[in-house]
Amino acid sequence: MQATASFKLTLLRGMLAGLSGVSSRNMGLLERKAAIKHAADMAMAAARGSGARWSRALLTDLSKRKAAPTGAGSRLQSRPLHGCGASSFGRKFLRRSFRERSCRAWKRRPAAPRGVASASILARRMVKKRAQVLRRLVPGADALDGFSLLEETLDYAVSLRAQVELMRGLTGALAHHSGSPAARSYQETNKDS
Amino acid sequence: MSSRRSGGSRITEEEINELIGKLQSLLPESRRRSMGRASASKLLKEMCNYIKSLHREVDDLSDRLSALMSTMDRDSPQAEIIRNLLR
Repeated sequence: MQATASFKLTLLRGMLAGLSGVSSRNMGLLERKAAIKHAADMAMAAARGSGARWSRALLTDLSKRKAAPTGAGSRLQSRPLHGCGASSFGRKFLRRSFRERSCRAWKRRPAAPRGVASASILARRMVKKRAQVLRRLVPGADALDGFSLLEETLDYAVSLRAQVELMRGLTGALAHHSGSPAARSYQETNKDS
Repeated sequence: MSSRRSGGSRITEEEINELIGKLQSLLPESRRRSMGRASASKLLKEMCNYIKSLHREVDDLSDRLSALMSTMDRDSPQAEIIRNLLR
């Protein structure tokens, strides 16, 4: 499953526009890295537009952060917070009410005898846990479940892959034309590709 | 790309299978093989791992690009490439 050609083209244009802004400024290595990630995510979300929950969430979050990097470790900036920008209290409340709602749904099903964790109950718990992890990875997927969550995940993953492929291509192009040590090391590790 | 459904409309078995098929086809061959017998739990796990690995790769590529661009100045070949591509 691939992103469309028009998405990739828009992504490329957006990325180059963002990068040209980065290259014209004097920055430290980490600051530039943060700016590059910002440009990449901005280009990806903008190319997708308002048609997906993840891209709307990303655009909202990115425009709040602008291009101001915190300068902290990449873990802090690695992925934006998802959700609609509600206060953290609001978000916790949302999550709790969703949990309560899904708990009530579980109670409606025939319960296994206490103390006996049947395979199906364990399987359901595992699915719930993993869905939770997925919700944290996909921007804006906080309130999604089941089919919608998987749909959004597919959409996001396809776009993310296009972003990665674009950045690989750019890195290769720049490394090829540069005599810098950074380029040489990139060329070494990518000899076979 | 995503089909928006109104609340209450049933999701067909066919739609579910189609979605699962698409998700599986996203995964690189090696991950697909390690999945063995498909299950909701395994699919979710592989999707989580896949997205995490894409995030890591973006992070790594950003590092490299940052290093590569740090040697760029207005007159370097790289700057020229970017300018040409923007036109």
